[in-house]
Amino acid sequence: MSLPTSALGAGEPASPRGVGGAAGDVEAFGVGGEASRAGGSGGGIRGAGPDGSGGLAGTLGRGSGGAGRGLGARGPGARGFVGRRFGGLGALGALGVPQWIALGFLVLLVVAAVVPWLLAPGDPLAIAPAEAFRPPGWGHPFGTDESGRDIYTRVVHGTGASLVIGVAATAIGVALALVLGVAAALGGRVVDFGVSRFLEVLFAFPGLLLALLVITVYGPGIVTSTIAVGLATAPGYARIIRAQTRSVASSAYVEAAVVLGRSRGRILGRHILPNAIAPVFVLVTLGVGQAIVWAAALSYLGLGAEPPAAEWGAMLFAGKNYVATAWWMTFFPGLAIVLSAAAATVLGRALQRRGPR
Amino acid sequence: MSGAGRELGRAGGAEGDSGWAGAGTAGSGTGGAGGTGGSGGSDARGSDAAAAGGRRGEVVLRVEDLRVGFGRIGAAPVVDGVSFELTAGRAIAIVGESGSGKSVTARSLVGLAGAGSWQTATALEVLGESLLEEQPARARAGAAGGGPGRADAASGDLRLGAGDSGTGAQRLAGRGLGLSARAWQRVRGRRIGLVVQDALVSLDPLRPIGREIGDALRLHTRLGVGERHARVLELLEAVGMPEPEVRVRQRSGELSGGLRQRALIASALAADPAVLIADEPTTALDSTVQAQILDLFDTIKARGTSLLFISHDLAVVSRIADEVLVMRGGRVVESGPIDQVLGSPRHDYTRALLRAVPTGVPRGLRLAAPPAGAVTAMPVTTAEPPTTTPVTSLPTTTAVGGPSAPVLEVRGVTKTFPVRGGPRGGIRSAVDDVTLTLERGATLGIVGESGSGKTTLARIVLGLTEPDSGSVSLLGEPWVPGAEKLRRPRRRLVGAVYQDALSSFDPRLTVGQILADALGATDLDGASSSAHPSAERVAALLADVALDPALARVRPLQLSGGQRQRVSIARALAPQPDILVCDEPVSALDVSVQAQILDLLDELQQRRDLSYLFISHDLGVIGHMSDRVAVMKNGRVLEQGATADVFADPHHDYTRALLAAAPRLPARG
Repeated sequence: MSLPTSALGAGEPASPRGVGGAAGDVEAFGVGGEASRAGGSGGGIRGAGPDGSGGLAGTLGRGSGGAGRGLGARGPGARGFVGRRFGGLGALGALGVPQWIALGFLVLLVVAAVVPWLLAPGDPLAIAPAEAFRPPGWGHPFGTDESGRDIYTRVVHGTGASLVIGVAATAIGVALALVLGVAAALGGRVVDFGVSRFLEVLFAFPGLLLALLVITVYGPGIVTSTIAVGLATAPGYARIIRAQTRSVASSAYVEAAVVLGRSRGRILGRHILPNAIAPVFVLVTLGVGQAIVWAAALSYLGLGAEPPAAEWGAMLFAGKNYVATAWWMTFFPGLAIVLSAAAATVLGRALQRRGPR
Repeated sequence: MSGAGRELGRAGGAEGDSGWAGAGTAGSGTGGAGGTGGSGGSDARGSDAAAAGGRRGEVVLRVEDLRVGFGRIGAAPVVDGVSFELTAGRAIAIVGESGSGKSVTARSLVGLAGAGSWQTATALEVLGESLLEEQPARARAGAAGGGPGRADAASGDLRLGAGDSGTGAQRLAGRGLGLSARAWQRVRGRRIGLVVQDALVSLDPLRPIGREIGDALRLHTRLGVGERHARVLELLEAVGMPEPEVRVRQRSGELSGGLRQRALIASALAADPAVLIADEPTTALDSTVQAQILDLFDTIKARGTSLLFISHDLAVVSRIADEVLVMRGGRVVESGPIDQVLGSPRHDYTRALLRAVPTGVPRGLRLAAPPAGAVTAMPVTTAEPPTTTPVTSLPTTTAVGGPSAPVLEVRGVTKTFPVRGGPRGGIRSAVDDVTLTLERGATLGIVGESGSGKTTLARIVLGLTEPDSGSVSLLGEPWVPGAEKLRRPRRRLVGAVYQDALSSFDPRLTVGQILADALGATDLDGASSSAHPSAERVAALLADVALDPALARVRPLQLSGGQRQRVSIARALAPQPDILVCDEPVSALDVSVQAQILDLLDELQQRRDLSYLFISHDLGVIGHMSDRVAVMKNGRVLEQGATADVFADPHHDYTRALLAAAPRLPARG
């Protein structure tokens, strides 16, 4: 931590940070290289939570790409970082060029989602048979599809659906996870046992399969696929929240609040929830990208948005019969999916890395 | 000096039954940052001491004008011109508070000052061989010119009075410590052994200690497997490890703190180094164990190994060292034979350090000099014993007909914990039939070593742990056991001050928010706006504990240890409690900061008529703070009574052992 040790106040000699930091480094070097190495690799395990609920790395690896490793490593040193995350989420000073590009792209996506006609004034559903299968060029920068609809317009107008599905699915997943995770952590042994076994069962299924299951039961459609993706991501978040909540609930500052005579509800709302959720916020950024890909996958399978709709996955599905003759029909919606997922991931990673410092 | 590291005869000539190994495996020294600059000031050599005790005479370690820093070479050194000479079979102690540079000094000598560090010295010799680079470092104009000047500016406020290096100092060309990682490996272990404070993190938790020590032998000797094993047992025996054949197969986690430290010392001695550097080797240990480890260091010294002993504890130092260097802000402010420095200190800082040691200072006397310029809400109390504090000892029986009724009564409290997986598979009594009484406005000290049950007792008193049997009453009314719901409205009567203040603060909150929370303010924004009424109350609280109200906007992470503990006290005071339960409130602090906190607690007690349940392992602190004292061991109170009585005439053997083990300063002047 490169925080200045301010020597305000009672005139105690504040130790220069340099020395403290140095001492820390030295410990790592210390007697027995093996010991420090063991400590290093143990960090991930400790990060997973004192209850030994299994490696977070594993949990997350499923949920949202390789995000787990980062969180696991952060666990032990989470104090300061959690504190500052809330204080300074807006501080973007430490972003590098790739992060800025990603951020710029996400801003563009949001604009496309909120006011698509600014970027593409045309009608995404307007048919013009005479213009069918035009390659990218003047007038149709991304080309046209089999009915002569402008791909560019459709990609821009499809952003809203993709983003809403991605964000809404993640929100559903986190909300569900919050209930399950907090209940498991604080609800006593029976509840914990029940919820934990339930989550383990969910974990046994690949996430997409779980989503398919939900759609099979409730029928295809954008709403169902959103809920399905949300449900599929919930177990991963739930395990993290459970572990975080448990460690926060047994922390010294929660105990200090008990000693001050605070009620359970107040302690939960003021101390436990904010501190337990903070690390999840970073993962959510990564999760949105993942959810966009999943929602597109469901649409591609014909289980999400129906074909005429301007939705990236559905456009991929519509274009797949013409891959050989009209590559642009699949290429541009695919590019949009890849870029938005990548942008969300790059930003999520940046937030994650900013943590431990 | 790449090809160095030949077998060097041992300085002392004692039988090869000690040796060492420690730091060897870690590889990767910081390599020599080519250094420049460095004025040869500060004459801190213990030359007179060396002459006085020149029994064996041979200089095993010579350090001259050592400078260490981080970042740009020559800029803002954290060790600034340290020089000393260590002769065979003697011990030099470096004392100082955190940040004084004492550990960095010691670690520089084994190339472990840390990543990004640079070192320069005009001389650095171990057994007559220089550890410096062959050639003077390339002088970089910028660093050479700007470095020292900047360093002075940076450390100017830390420098003490006149007399230390400075204006007229002759400028010598310093040279960097330029050893390769391999060369350092030969220095470490073979010639200089290192023992650090926390043996738990220094020993591999997954390997038996025998293998750890064997590693040192494998690296530094050519012994075969069988010989190594025999030597390991020898070493363990030499460091007083009971049942070495059993212990050799145990992992560090299975050993107690004292045994772990012995194992670490054994590994440091394995390759038979001439110098053993011990960095706060007993700080984490209980006082009786500490005494044993100090005895062990005495034995090691008597066998001819020289000791460089780093400590913040003057009492410990007085027990082991022949000479002492007092460091502050990277500089040596005073040095000389131990008796002279502790007996008649010349420097103000040394005097302040000595005065801050609470051992033997009567109740009510200030330990720290009144902080100049500190923000205080009220006049600093004078050094005369306050009238409210009973100076004479109380009767040993519980306050017969005392003017005030007891505020807290603990009656026959017992708490057991199941022992999982233990060979006996049974239960362990953490607190066993404890009965205590705390009078209004008085301090009840509870002293005991780790595992004595004092923290469990504190938790029971705080209503955090339900006892198996027995009860606690607060102001004459039942408190524990009871439903939390009934207890909650009265919780404001009992406050708590913890050892680790930082972890007791919600990391998201600022100091102002923490205190506003404790005051019961409902706004979640805390006291950030000065218009808010709670901001004034927060400021008043901060003033009560002599902190700048501006600190309300800061997070505890950015505060020093003493400031954090002040915030922790302020929080405990916020609901106007009658009782404070202080669990080791000063054991993580430097002695001078500890003195300030103890003084603060004293003042607050008088002003607010507070009653303290004061828990500590430190007899000196307990003796200074308590009116009555209870000695705990294995969950039982062995003895209790007025502090003066118990200290002067202990009835129980264990109390006597504790008192004997506590390191003590020579009679204070």
